[in-house]
Amino acid sequence: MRSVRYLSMVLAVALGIAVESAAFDWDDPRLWIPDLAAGLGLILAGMIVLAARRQGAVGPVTLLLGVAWLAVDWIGWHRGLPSVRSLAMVAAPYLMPLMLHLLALWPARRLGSAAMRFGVALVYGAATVFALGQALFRNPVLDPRCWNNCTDNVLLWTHIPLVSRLLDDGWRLVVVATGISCAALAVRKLGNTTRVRKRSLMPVLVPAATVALTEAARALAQMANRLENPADPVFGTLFAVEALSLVAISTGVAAAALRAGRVNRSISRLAKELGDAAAPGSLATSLSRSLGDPELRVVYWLPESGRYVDSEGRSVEPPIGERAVTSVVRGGQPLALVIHDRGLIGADELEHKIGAAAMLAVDNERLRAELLAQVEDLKTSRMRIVEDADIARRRLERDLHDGAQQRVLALLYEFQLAAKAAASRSDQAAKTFLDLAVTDVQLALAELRDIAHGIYPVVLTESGLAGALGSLRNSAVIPVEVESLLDGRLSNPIESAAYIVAAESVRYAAERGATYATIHASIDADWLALEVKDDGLGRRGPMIHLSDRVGALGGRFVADPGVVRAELPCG
Amino acid sequence: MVIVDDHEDFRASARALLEADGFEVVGEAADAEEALAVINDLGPTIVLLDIQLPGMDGLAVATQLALKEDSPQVVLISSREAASYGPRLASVSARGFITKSELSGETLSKLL
Repeated sequence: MRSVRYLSMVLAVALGIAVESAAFDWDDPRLWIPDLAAGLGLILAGMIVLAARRQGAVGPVTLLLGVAWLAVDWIGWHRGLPSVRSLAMVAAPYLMPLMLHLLALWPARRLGSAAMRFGVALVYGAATVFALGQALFRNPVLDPRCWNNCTDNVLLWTHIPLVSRLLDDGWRLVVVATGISCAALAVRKLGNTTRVRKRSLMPVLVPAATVALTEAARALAQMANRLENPADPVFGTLFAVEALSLVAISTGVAAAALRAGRVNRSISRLAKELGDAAAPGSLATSLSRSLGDPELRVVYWLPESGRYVDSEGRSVEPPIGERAVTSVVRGGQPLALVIHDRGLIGADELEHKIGAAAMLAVDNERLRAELLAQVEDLKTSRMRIVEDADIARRRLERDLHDGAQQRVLALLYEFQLAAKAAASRSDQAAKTFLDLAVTDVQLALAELRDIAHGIYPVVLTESGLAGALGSLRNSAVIPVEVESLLDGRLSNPIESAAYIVAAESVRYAAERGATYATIHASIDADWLALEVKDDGLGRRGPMIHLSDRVGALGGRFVADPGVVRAELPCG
Repeated sequence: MVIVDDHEDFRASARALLEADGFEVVGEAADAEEALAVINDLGPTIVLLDIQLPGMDGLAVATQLALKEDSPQVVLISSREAASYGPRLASVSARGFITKSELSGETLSKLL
């Protein structure tokens, strides 16, 4: 808060002096409005950044840019304090190094490479040499090139025209070189980033580069012996472009600071929410709320199976399309993808925020999703095993029918033919023997048929569950009453499981001495309900194989004394 | 009589058995299309028709034959029991059903 009060004071002083200075040309709003807007805008933007305690040096640099810009007004402050005018002459040259500094910083908190730090320090150094040199060795009264202050320099030590001219020429070269460097830096920064990031960089980098190039153009004009004069259309145009660009910079800096503050508050809220509640899917819900994107999704990377899953463990395809995708990475390993609206927040920024605030939640949810995915895999695998077993049983039944049964049938017919031949020859002994053989083969065929039916009841394929239950009524060893409210066919695994539950329950009932059994089958809300009741004595066994088969299909199975219930999903 | 079954060995055995019992077997077929063609060409009075045929099954063939003006008497046969075919079997217009293990001239004559 102390810094805010201090800066408010600076702002007040700047305001007063700037307005006082501008009062000399009060009659031309084309000059004083952009001039004042640029200077005060930069100071205000710098204060906003400072108050938000964000973005490191961006706040002070922006604020000082405003001061350096307004310094030119203070230099030209006619009848003003000579000390203020003299100090303003020292301050004004810092506009260029400050601009390079802002460009080099934006949008980070600190300068990046050592080379960048050296370059910025070099220009600051050059500005200091020029400003102090001019203060010490330039007497404005004797300077033929003076334009806005030809009277006051309280810092003058001794007038040395050669030094003053050399410093002037050298500084102009520095300004031209810095202007070109600023433009190149802006182009490089904009070229090496994503489209989303570019949108957030442009509002500051483009006008900053424009200001730097304008300063360079002014220096070139001066080098061409053109005298600085606000009425000159070249300098007038340069002034207008530069002032508007500075207004744009202040707007960009302030907007970014306000936006960063809003995101920061959202992420702080998110971190608290994630810390308070670890409900499944809370990461996506909280991020969605924080960023105001109702369609935001989070998917998790499972490295072992090489796929993405949602928070419920269901496999999902990696997103391709218009929405932005931000990777959450730790130690170079991907953890998750956040799929969100491109316009809400830059991918880099979101990645940074998530990394700081919600990495634990990402970890937890990813582990939970991984566990759920494994459960889902197990369910699928279990179901596949049951389906594959049914297919194998059907194939085996078919093989028995087409192979062994046909051969035994042929054998039966041959025995029958042989018996007829023996009868025609009146060979009674052979006929008796062959008749016995025919009977045995018929018994063998009946047993083979029963085995085949036990392996897979073809009636299921032919007539579905309703028909198969009807067939069960006819083939059971105890009276069976069937009440089927089924209409239409169900999937093969469901029909098979339900039929096997019914057939096995009836068989168990008979083994426990039941005199009857009733089967009730119906469908309600996409669930097949099957109930088998009997009057057998004693408890049932656990019927694990039936429970497993029903469970593998996502169903429920209960075996109580006298009643078996199975519920199977059929939607 | 025409015997329709996809197992050649069965057709040969059944032909020998039924011919020994006095039936005249005029033709054989291995699937539904061939059966319809042979029956159309030869005009048998009896068709011994296996239910489990590749492609169109015997029940569907029986239904088509029932639509003919001079439709032959169809006797359905199968290695499986009649119950395996559920209500579909009862809905087909045929003279009767015999499991293959019960097939003989005598059982066939009882149905006709």
